[in-house]
Amino acid sequence: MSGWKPALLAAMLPAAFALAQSRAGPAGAVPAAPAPAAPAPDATAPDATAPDATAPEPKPPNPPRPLDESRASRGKAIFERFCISCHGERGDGRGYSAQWLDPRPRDFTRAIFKCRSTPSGTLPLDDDLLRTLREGLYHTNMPSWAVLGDRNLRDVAEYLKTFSPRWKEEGPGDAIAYAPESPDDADSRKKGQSVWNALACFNCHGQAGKGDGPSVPTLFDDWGNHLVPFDFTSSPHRKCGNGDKDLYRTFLTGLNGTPMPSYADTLSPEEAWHLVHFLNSLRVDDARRR
Amino acid sequence: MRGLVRCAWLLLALSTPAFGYQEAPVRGGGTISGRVTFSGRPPAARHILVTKDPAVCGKTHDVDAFLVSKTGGIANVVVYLLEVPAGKAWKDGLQPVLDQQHCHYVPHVSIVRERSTLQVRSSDPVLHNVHSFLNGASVINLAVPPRKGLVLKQRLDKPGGMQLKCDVHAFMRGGIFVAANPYHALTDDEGRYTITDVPPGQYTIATWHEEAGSVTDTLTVPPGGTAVWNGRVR
Repeated sequence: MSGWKPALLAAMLPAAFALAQSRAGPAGAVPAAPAPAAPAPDATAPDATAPDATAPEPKPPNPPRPLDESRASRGKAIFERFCISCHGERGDGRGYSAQWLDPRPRDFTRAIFKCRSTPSGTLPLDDDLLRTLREGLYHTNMPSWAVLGDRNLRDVAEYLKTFSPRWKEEGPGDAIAYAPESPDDADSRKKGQSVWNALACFNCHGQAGKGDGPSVPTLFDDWGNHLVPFDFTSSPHRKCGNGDKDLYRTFLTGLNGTPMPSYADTLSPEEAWHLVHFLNSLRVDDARRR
Repeated sequence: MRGLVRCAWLLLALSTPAFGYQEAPVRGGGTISGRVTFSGRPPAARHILVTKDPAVCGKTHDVDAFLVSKTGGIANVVVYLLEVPAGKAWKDGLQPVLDQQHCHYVPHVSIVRERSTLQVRSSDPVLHNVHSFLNGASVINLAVPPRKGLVLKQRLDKPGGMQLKCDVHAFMRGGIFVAANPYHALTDDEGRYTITDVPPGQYTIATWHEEAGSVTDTLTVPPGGTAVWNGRVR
């Protein structure tokens, strides 16, 4: 009976090998791009070399984790006691109170979560859900539920997974790694400002980090709600957490379901820490500003 | 024991998508060809005045979602067969590359083999983000800042057509079609398409377009012959 597992793995190997192979090219016409006035030569402009294949191949998604039924059923009772007034009985974010809330409560039927430690587009870890339940979300009506205790909150987190079929189809992504933080000094902050400029964060977040960039009028989430990017000059209370690590993590994971993309493959760990330090320097409560 | 067997079957059933399409010799393969037309009056051509990065994107941007010819043929429609267990080999060649040029996706619709990798790059000296939506829900959202030689790799596992959008330049639209089998084609300017080497039999044929609705139909491919299928989307 123990032989089926290796057999299954062996059978899956060819599929894995097939990954890096071919594509069937899009036949037919591709609309020609117009030729506007040539942009001014830019030092940061990418060169015209063909894409290289040196970067490692992305790994396949993790297999789904089986639902803990008893946990989920305990979680259901708690959810129906405390959560449905905003998130709704069906977990679709359309509870009775939702009409008065901005931002709107999360719709769990799509299994799209902003605050995660997992790569862009993937499901969050249990610990990510637990963190939100335990700490709540700044600038929203989601309070901290720490008072219920971690065991109950884990039950709720398990129940949330019953609202979307996505949890049966795929597993959570792998948590991103944190590189050791460099010292938050003037040099790092200055470098962080260059990173801010090079990555063109100002398009949405505004030149001064106030969340008033030129693209703001066209920013919407997956539900069609207009979003305003975070104002880094306001308070230290960022939605996904106050800490430097929380900010670092958001660069690498993006915020699923929003225009905030992942910079996981475009930002080195050092640059990410410099950027964290630069954004710290914009804070109105930054000690060094006084 | 019985539980274990059942468990093994369940795992096998769950893992079958990992096998998916099988390449096998095609005997007496037929051809499907035809034309996809737009039903009714096509949306009027729209030209957007560009206020974001006009030096790179151009002062105006033609909305290129609906490219309908004078005779009603619609371009950039993916015509594909559903649930083909086995058939012709995938075309070997370059890995698909999605480029961004003057705030247009090139190609406008990328076709990527399921569970394979799409390479994303940009030729523009401005920030773009490649944000894809499957049935309205975000799938990928990658920042593509102006960095020399930057090539991102994105694995795509869920078959189907995804809309593509740049949140920085909201007028930038396109598509990525993740194909579960090699029986697919993209319509040309006149809406024409051809799918070759189809094993004879009955199939479900479907269309996908980034904004138009999809059409699903059944057809029979005769051995060595041609089946004509014309679709009307709206």
